Amino acid sequence: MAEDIAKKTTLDEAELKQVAAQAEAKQTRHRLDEYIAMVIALCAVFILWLMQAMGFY
Amino acid sequence: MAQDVTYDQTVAGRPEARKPSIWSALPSWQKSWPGLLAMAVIAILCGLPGLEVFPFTIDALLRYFDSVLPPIYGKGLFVDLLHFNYVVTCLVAGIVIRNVIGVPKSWEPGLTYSGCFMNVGIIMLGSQYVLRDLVKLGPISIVIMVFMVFGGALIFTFMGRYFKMGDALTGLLAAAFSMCGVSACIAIAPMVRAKSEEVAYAIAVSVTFGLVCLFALPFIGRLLGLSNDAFGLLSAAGVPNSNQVIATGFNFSFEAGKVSGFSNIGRLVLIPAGVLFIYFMTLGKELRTTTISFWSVLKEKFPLFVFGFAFVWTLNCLQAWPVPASEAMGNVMNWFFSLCFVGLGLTTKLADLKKAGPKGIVIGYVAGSMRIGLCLILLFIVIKMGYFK
Repeated sequence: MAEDIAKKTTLDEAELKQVAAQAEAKQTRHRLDEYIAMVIALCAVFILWLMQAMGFY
Repeated sequence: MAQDVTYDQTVAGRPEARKPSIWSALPSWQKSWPGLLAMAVIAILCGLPGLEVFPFTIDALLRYFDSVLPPIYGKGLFVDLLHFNYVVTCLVAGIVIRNVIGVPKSWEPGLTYSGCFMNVGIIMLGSQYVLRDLVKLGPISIVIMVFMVFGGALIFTFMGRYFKMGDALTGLLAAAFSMCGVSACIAIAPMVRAKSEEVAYAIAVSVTFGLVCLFALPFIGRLLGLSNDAFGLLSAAGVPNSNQVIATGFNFSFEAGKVSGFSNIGRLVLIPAGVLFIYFMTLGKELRTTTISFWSVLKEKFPLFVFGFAFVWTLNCLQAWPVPASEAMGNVMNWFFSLCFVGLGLTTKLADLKKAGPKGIVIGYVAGSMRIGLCLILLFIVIKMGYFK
């Protein structure tokens, strides 16, 4: 465990920052994908409902 | 007297110093369209379910081969024996193009939208469920998912300590296998102070394990005679990545795919709690350098598109649209899933198997298989007790 702690403390801080930045970017992209998915899916549902109401099928 | 100058006061009116908009995280339309178009064309060529207007598809070709070739034990080779459906066709086409022909660089930005298409499919899955489905599947899914997320994390923690893997890698693998693969792995990386090569390694192990599951689990499921519901739950609990979960479910059957998509929502909802659990399980007290707030983790990691699913499902329960519209929504859902599967195939690099290395394969695959075994035992107990078919 002592070795592990020593290893952790000597880790390159810049690399850790880079990993954190990547994680944040991924998280942001994830959220955006969710927003876009909600817009696409709800629009698709509305269009299909409208087409049904207009007697297309 | 010195006056404090805020960031806003300093940079106001200087466009070069403005914080980038969150929309800048998305690749532009000009960069994305080649990949999006490629996914759509490949999906149509593979044969989209419910879209019979285009007859020259790989699916039609395989059915033609089955009708021409001599039957094996009275069954067609591709459709009956190898179970080639639109899921397998889309995936295999994508994997072959990526690993044999190669994918142009211009496709890459568009291919990143495959996760978005999966979310669209899951939201539209709400149109295929009614209240009795939720009553039938809901409680048992929640119990199994809770058990598998936290039990899986415990298995990986134990394996990590046994093989002296290091806390960061143990945490990464536990997150990748217990929750939703790549996303969970990247989300937990800064919390467990992981290095970039450890992140790449954990991703490679989880993605390749998921790839093996995608093709092997449906055969195991058929061998064990699992029902659609049981297999859907098994794929949601056992396969690491969400795209692969749904592909594995649909690879078994359409009904199993629906169940795996539904059960996967349960797993995604558990991500915030799972991330905290892994953080506290894998890191010793003295290594916990970050102050973690449950609410901030919940805010950041909770999957918002679940509300979209709940909204569509509620409308379906209230019979906001008649059956033909619901069927059309089912077809559109399948098209989005097909796009997602093509994207998944086109981003699957078989060279990642090499990147995972022998130790990663052993640890990841043994622990991942143990999770699947545990889930099977749970399912058989639940079935035996009569709670589930």
